[in-house]
Amino acid sequence: MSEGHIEVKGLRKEYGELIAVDGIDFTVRKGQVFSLLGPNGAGKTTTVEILECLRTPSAGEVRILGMGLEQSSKIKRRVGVLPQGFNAFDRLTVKENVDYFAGMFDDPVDTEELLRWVKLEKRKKELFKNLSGGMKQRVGIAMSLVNDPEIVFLDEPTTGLDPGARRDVWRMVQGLRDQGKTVLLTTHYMEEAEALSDYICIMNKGRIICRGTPREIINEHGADPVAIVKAAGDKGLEALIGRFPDCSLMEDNLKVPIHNSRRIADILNILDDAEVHYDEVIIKKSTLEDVFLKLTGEELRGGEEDEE
Amino acid sequence: MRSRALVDFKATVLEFKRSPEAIFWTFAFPIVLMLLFGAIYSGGGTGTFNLYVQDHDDSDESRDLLESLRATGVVNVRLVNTTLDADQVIKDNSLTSFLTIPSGFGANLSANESAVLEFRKDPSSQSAITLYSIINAAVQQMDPGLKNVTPLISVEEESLVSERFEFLDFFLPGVLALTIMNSTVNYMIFTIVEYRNRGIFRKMMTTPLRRPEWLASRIMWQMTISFISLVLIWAIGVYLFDIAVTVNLMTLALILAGTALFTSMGMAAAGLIKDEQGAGALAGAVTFPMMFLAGIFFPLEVMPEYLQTIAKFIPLTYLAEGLRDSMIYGNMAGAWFNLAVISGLAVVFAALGTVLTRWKEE
Ligand SMILES: Nc1ncnc2c1ncn2[C@@H]1O[C@H](COP(=O)(O)OP(=O)(O)O)[C@@H](O)[C@H]1O
Ligand SMILES: [Mg+2]
Repeated sequence: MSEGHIEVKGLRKEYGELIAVDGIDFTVRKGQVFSLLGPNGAGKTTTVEILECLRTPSAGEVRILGMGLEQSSKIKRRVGVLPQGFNAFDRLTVKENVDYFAGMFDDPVDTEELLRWVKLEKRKKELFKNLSGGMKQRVGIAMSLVNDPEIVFLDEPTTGLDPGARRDVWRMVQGLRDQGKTVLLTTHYMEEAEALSDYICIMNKGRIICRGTPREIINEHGADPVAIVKAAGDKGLEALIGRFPDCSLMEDNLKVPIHNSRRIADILNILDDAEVHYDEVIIKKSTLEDVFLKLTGEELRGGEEDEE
Repeated sequence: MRSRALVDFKATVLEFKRSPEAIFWTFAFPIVLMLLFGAIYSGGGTGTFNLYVQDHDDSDESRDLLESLRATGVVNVRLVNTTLDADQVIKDNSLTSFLTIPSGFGANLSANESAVLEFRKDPSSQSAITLYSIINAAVQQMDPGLKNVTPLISVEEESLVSERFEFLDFFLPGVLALTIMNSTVNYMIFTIVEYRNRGIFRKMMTTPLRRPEWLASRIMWQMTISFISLVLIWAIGVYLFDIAVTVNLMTLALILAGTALFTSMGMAAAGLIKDEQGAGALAGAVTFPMMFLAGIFFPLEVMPEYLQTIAKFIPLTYLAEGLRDSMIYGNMAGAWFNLAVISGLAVVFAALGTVLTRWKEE
């Protein structure tokens, strides 16, 4: 155990009968954005809260910045945490909230500057309870940075946010990486993990079922890309079925899986030769969503995505 | 090193200042209680009591006693013909109390010998209990040498009541004790449940803030509230009802210790429940029995034996007694004893509270 900023070996957590985390291993390197991706109940929060020294593992070895969990007070000084479903003091302003948490550390950063960084300097006098979800989350991110942490834990930072607010959070995560901070992110949005992560562990039912960079995971487990020729109709199918027996028609759209040996240009040439008219051609790459579906036979999204 | 407790204290003050409901509930309670008791028991109020008296003595002394009872403004003295049978009169008129001044009362007093009054009362009657206290006070005022007691009147030898003792005085320390308990226990339970359910504790736990530091901040805060309550209650008592009570260092020490005790009790109790509905029920379950069993509304001495025993196990009893000792009776020995009990309990509950408070929702 040396070069990793976070090293986890054989980590287990049981709640009575329930095994929330079932023996997982992973290493997070300095400066990485590392994601735990998985549906609700996968054990992501349990895992990160163990790393944050908020819960005690049932078994396993954990080292954070070279320290064991028994050195929790030292660890807490050097990491920042945005808990899942984060809340702050309703009747304190943005600035007062951030100052409160800055006051808990011996050597905090300048909170004014922090508020500028999360783009809340104009809202700093507003009460926390009057903020939108996205702004609250930005306050939470600012609060997690008051001690200039080396590792930042972000537990589902965008759950329940609208797309605009989600992009804002994404930009901040990228900003943190640019500053050289190590980020441990949990999410059940695959596009979030795909867009932000240097390394991903896909979790399901307490286990890591797959790991790698987003590209590695998709290359290894993803299905082939599919070309979709819109509005090509029966005529298109007739033209292509000879060369590509696995193509199919969905409504009026033609679906053609693209293997290594096939080129999109070939498809288009055949269609042109047969004088087939079509609206457009879309290439759909496989996503982590597909990977998850393939690996577990289940949908990744818990279906609660848009409820807030 | 920074004081994290102070940072938390400052935030609590700000939050409180911006919460009209919290301000209202914290201060309305003692104000309403004082106004209510004041209206009932101060002479100007409508609350007067009929006291049926058989004066077998008819001496200067007995007439003095009756006169000082009338002078309280709360007592209508109804003289009963001495030829009648007292038991029959009580029965026929459904009286809840009856005072008999035996013959020889005045003679004994002038001879500096012990004299006896006989007071019959229905222990379940509030007005009888009140009259008992008033007679008690009048007797003490009349002659500190009047020592002996009937089975029903017990005059504590060491209870030197300040000169202008009036009945409402008895209640002021009780109202103060009750207010300290009530606002502190409630505030703690509701805050802890809210912080836990909203995940604020979880966030706090990710910082170096430790639970004893947080408890220290809360105790500081509740002491602030307790002192504001003291000033409010005292001001109402003095300006509206002309009460004379003493506030000395012992009073302040008792308030500090009592606040620390109930803050810790609230913290320990909040560890037992999960949701917000539970909070209200729990706060009630802690404060209600104490409110009624600690001798706040009636003197402990007039309560039935078994209730007196129960009261001994109720922390609020010691705060109320201690405050009465220091504010009315000037009984320093008693106050010290109560202060010691409260401080001991505070230490026990602070330890319990720190251990029991879960900062996470499980
Ligand atoms: N404190 C707890 N007590 C009992 N069960 C828990 C507790 N926390 C989480 N769980 C259970 O452990 C499993 C993993 O939960 P969690 O770590 O929150 O997953 P995720 O963050 O991936 O949604 C779930 O089945 C959840 O119900
Ligand atoms: Mg979670």
